[in-house]
Amino acid sequence: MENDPEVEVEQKDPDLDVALMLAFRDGDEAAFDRLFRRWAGPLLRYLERMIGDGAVAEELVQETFFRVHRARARYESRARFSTWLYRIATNLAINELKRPRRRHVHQEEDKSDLQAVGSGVEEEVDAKRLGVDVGRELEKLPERQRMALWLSAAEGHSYAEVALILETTEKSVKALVHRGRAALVVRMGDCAGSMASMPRRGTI
Amino acid sequence: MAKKKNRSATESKARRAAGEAKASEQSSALVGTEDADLSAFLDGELSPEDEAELRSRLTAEPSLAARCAELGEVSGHLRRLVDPEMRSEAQTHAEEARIEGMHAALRRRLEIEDAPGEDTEGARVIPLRPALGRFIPAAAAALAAGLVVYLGLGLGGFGGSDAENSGVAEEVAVVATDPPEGGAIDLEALPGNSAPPPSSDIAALETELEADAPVVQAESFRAVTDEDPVEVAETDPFETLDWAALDDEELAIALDFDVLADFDVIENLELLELLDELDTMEQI
Repeated sequence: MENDPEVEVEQKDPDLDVALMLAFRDGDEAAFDRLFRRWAGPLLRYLERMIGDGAVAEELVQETFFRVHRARARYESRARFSTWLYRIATNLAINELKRPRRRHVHQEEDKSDLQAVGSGVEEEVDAKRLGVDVGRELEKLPERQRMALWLSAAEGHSYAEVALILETTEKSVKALVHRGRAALVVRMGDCAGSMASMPRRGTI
Repeated sequence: MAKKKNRSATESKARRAAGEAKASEQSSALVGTEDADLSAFLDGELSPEDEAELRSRLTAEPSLAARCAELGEVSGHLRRLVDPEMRSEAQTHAEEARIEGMHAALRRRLEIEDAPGEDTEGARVIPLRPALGRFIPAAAAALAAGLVVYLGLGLGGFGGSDAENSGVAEEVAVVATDPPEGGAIDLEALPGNSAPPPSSDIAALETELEADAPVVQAESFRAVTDEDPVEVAETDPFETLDWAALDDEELAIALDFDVLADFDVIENLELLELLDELDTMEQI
């Protein structure tokens, strides 16, 4: 890989995205490849959280960029590239979620590795497990709450951008984000309670 | 006044939030103006004034601060899910490999789609194909029917009586409206549509057709010969006509147009108009 995707994603320079997209619109295929490598990772994580299926999320990432490729002539630099990209991906995800066979595809992860970890790293493991649980609980939220909360709290999009992505108002986004966050507080409280009752190594 | 306005706005927000809470069973106990504002505060979405006000309240109200911490903890966990530093090296490599795989697959797809003349998407892209398949047999049948008509007329018509011709037309109509399975039509088997003869045989074929063609000759239209008696009028009607007694209309009927040209046009204007009308009616 020519460019380190992590470095590029962390920079998330919207001006660079727009410049790349405009270059691609003018025929620079390498600019498209750079955009793909900058955004495929975050998009994949977003879609995985929304769909709950890694393979389908990969398909949707490809489809999103395929549509970007096809729609390059219509691109206008009025909005951020990422807003446009996530809007396409979100619409695809919503369509995917409407398919009955895709609903509630949340495979149980193997917890054995976490349960077997020693007390020296307990704190880190607890934090990691809590993170995993947050991810799992997130997937149980209604889809629009899930999308709004992830885009805002996890990825740092503004409410205005989330409103554009979800095709709604900022007020609705505020309500969606808060409901999702509040629901997760309750669920995480339940998780914390169950974790507190879990026996740890050396205590048995 | 401003305080009253603020209070009113706050109450309005509370009422709206309460309505939303009813709609959502899951978070009914949690949704409230303060909670929503705390969320917006954590996301950096409050206006500077509202943020300053909330900050002052957070210092003064421990319960509100605790609630803010709870909500903030969720945000922290979510951010860790996307934080590259929280991922192991193996996870990072695995994700890079997935991205490379997706990129390669996407490039392949784009190349295939861009290749000229490639049938890339099967039925999804070419929905016309089944319709075209249905259309071809019907079009072939129509073409065959057209050929039958053309050849039939070109080679001296279908011959025979109207009844015979209508029989052929019926057969053609059947072929045109009921194409055989698969659209394959044996043109030579169609009526009046045998294989075209070689050019050397055309003269012989024309002779044969003339001989075969039925002669339509009504007995009442027998040809007149020199021996047939000719009835000659004994008197000339023009000589016996009382011209002075004729009115304009009768005069017009009695005379043809050339003679009328010698008439006084002004005096016989009505007559001319009448004749013109009669002439028009005849043409119609």
